[in-house]
Amino acid sequence: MSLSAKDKLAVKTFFDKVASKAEDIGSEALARTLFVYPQTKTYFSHWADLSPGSPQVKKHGLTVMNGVLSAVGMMDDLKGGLLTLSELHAFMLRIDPANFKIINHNLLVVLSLMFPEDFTAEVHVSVDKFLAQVSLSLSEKYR
Amino acid sequence: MVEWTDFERTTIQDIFSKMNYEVVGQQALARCLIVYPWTQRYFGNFGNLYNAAAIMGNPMVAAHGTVVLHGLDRAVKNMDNIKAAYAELSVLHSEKLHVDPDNFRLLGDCLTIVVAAQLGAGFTPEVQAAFQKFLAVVVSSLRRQYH
Repeated sequence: MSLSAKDKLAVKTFFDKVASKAEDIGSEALARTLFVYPQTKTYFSHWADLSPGSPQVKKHGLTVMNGVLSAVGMMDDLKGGLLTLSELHAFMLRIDPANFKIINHNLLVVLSLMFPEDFTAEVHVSVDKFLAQVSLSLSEKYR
Repeated sequence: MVEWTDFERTTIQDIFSKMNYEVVGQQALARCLIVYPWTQRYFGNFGNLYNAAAIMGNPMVAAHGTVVLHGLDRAVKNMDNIKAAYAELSVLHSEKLHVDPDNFRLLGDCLTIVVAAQLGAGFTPEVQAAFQKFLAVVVSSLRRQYH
């Protein structure tokens, strides 16, 4: 399910449009991940406040979203481009890769509710494929 | 037995009482067929499903989307025994329609995304949690009679 030229264009066009809202998108997606899938909170036991509006959720949501946006620029070699981030996730953070699917789903939900006109079915399928490829590349160094 | 909070019950009743079944049903099923194209395997007789535009404009997809969404009414009306309410539909999907139960989750995800677009900011994390819990129970009940 690799990215076609059409997918790459759809992803780039859409994310260029929404990039200015990176903090809102990222923090909403992270907030929903923590709230709707409480088992994900286990990775943030060192945070004081895990509630949706908290400054830590906002800051980290932006970090995650900036990662996604940088991946948009690496679509021709996601594995290579995300090598360092993969090492981070694999060796330091040790996040179970099953969780990538969870945050991806919440990113789609947030993109849909924030940009209902732009998040058409065709954009949806390309973004879903893109996020799946990002997750795969992030999982690369796990074992 | 699934325990529902008052908030969850109210949220589900609210979403479905305000639902435009024709719009949401068509959107959710069409999106499922576009985003997960292998799901088209169950709709060989639906005519033109060759691209996203064809799927979006296909009247059989629209009609069937409405049927499927109304199928959820059964759960909305019987929240305290969704398992029993879906026994018959579960047998139908397994024995007659031969639908891989994994597809229920895929359609559920598309429905969540369509409802999110409809409700916008109203689709808060709390509402999302209630809606996804509801769909998870329905999906689990639809899977029960497979063997």
